[in-house]
Amino acid sequence: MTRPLDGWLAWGSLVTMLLALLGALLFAQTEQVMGPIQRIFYVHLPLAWIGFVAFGHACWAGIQYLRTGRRGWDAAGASAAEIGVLFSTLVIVTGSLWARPVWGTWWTWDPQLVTYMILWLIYVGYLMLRSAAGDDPRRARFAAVFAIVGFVDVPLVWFSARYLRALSPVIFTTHSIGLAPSMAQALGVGLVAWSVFYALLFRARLRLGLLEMQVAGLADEAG
Amino acid sequence: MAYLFWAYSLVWVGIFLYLYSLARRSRALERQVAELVERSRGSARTQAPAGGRRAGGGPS
Repeated sequence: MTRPLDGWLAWGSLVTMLLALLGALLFAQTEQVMGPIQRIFYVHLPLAWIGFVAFGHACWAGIQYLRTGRRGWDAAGASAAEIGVLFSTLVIVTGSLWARPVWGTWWTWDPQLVTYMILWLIYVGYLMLRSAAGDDPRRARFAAVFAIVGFVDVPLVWFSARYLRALSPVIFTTHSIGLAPSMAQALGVGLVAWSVFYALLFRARLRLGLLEMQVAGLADEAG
Repeated sequence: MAYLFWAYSLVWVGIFLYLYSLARRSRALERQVAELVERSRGSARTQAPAGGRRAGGGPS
């Protein structure tokens, strides 16, 4: 992995994050019904989207690990899942803070919220499995299967808002984006910013995971 | 407005806590590497005199 790329990602992340913050808090027009509280959306949705990407990444790494048996894929899966859990935790927190003034409750048993909570629990379980099952190839195999099976819930979350009677609004349809232009632009910058940040975070976490793996191997050899 | 403030603040608190946890893990790894280096130096030192005796000639 090249360090200069990390430098570019760090600077890119800083610049796009600042732009995303300005876009979300100043540039995007205020929503008429919800008012300023709707601006939580510009951090909530990108985090949810990148959380899905991270879980997809963990699933892909799991498939590659089962196919090749290379430990690097196991480390990649663990890194992606860990960041996915972090982002989805923040999605639940920001969602609750949005729901309280708008729906009058911190939590409701809405199909999308329930399927999302199940997704979060699956990957928290994945991380617990990894920390509890020691360090052997069996753990890596179990974890890979867990990550692949867990990803099945992602389409359920996505489609629950469309086909079940969910409270969450549907923003993206096949025909249009249900947002005013300034809102769509702020959202677009937010998606780019969090994507760049994910790439940076993933590379840092993967590097740490690979080093931990190497040091554990050396420690075993040294007795 | 308070909810908006808390949403953005908690996101960044969460991100910084995660970065802090990565930094701690990295420091723990550095300590482990230093221990391993120390251990390998120690074993090299204990092996060297034995090798020296062999080189210097044992009982003939």
